[in-house]
Amino acid sequence: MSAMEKEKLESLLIDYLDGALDAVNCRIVEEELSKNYRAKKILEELKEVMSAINNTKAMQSSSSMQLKFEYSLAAEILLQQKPKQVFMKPRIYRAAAAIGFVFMIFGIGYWVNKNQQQALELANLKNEMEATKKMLMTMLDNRQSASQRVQGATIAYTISKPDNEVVNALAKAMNEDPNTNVRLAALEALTKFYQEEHVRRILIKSLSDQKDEVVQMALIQVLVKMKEKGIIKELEKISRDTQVLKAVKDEAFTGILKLS
Amino acid sequence: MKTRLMIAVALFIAWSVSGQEYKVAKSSGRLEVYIGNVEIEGYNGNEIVFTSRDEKDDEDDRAKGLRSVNSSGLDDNTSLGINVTTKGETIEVRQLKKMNSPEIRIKVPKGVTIYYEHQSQYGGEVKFKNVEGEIEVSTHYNSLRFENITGPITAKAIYGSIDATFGDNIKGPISLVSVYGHVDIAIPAATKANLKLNTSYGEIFVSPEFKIEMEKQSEVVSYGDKINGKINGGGMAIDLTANYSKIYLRKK
Amino acid sequence: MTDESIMEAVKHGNLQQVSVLFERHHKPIFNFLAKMTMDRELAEDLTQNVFLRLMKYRNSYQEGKRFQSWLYQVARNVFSDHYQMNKNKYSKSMDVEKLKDSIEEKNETLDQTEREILLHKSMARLANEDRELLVLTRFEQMKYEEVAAIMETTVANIKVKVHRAIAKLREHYFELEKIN
Repeated sequence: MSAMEKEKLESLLIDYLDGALDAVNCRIVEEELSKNYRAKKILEELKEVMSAINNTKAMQSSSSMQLKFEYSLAAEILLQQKPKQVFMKPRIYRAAAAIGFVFMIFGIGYWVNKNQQQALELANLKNEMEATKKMLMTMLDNRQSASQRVQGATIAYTISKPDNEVVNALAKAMNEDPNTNVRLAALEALTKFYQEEHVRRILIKSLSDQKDEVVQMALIQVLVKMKEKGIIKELEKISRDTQVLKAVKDEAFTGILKLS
Repeated sequence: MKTRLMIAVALFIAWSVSGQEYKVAKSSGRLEVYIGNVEIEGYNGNEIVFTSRDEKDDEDDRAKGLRSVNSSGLDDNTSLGINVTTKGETIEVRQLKKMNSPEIRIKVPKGVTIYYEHQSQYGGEVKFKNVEGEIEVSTHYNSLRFENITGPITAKAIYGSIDATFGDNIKGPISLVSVYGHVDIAIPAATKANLKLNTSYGEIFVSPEFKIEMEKQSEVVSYGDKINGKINGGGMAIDLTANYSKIYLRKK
Repeated sequence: MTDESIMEAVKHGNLQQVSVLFERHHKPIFNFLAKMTMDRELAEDLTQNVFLRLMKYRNSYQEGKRFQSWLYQVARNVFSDHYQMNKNKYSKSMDVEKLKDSIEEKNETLDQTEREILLHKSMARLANEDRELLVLTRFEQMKYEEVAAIMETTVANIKVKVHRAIAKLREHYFELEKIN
């Protein structure tokens, strides 16, 4: 019996056991079974495997699973709404949310033992940060939708201390995004971290690289407010540049006056 | 056989040009418009429909039997003075003449997102009406008028002003920026939003129905005249910037 | 309320409704993942991830699409992401031992338990794709049409593949039986 035939035969036998054959094919199979010992053996083996499958019990998940899920869901929903809501909330709200979060962990603690509880707590806090970060980066990367990118930049407001990856993603958006509104949102987000030396340097560097007029203006205002005297030379250059939009030149000129 | 017939019919519908009307069968994807004078209206249909708003008949008898050729290398494949090209999920609409943009009206199915860009100063007010998809606009000289749209929207104008009224099912984020023009928007009174209103040399006016809970500014560097705050408890992001002009936030 | 209308509500921002979907579907999804991973605890974690992912990627749910198909597509992705990340651990032998605990021995004859362990060992020897097809069609008793919708292929194609997978399973099963 060739391999091809064997595969075909076995397929027919499976259908036979499944009761999926019409009368004609049924007769063909039964005839084969009566004269072909190997076919009969395969059928017996298939029967055993299938009965083994049918006799397996559905596995039971632990009873606390639904409850655990409710907690993760609540945490996740909180996280999802953050970019929209939490960033404007006073600190006390954020603190309350954090306390609530710890209580939730505590609640889960009833179902897990103490050691696991601590691990879980750490893991959840870390996950939350990772999830926020991931969301920010993914949204900033959405080429199809400028609104999504704007929203991505505003997620940065929920982060108290950004890592380099987040800062660089925002810097890239500020300097390279095709959409002005996205660049502005990224600048706004970076401005929140102006006390970080790394971020200051990025803002100063962007002043000479920035091609978008509206962002140039906002950037000059930010740097002037930060009393960044180092930019005066660049501002003078901008105020003399004939290619630059008048509003940008005016802004640069105002900046020079305020900083000198 | 049947499918082939259906494809033929579909193609016929898609490319049928009847008089001053041009249609493309498309109810999703992205419409990119690069023409100076245009009115875009959302509707419940599944074709993008282009028509002329020009009343005057500028048919040139001398040009009869000749083909319009221009430096951009684009064909007038619509008989409306514009070129419409489909590239995958994107439909690009360009004008053929550099300066005189034909006046075009486009009806757009609700599932289509709209991108509008126009840098030249030869253009007029651009209008968007009843659009429920996402809108992205970048322009230098055109003024922008949005009527009964939902957002999300990002729009930038340098010299033009921006006027917008939003429907009840408003969706964020909303980001509108004009350097020299005003930004005037009307939103439902119950809108939950985080507001950022920002002007350098202009003024900000807000309807008294909106009680703005101001955010403390201590943490963040602020510049210009800037309002950061929440209405109705906060929610979607609404960012409005008018560097040299006024911002108006009204109740719809 | 149908699953589809609940999912649409989720898509429109009613995130809490995910818990209804969890309640309705977590058992088969857990069983699917338990048989794919051969690890009960891990399967519980992954099941949670499936439903959280449902919420995170709610916007990619096409309205009108059968919810169950989408759910299993998400579950398959969760499993395959996990598998990709932990490839090395899975490389040689799947740890059937972990699954043993979950096979309830109390009311069953020893023979029955042994057969079940044999079955799971044979399942563990199958390629992921084959194991997946068997779990869905034979253990969860889904119709070929449903599985075809999940895998986005034809019913005929699924049937051919399932039959081949059963043949392979049968071979492994009796090979292992001989060794024992």
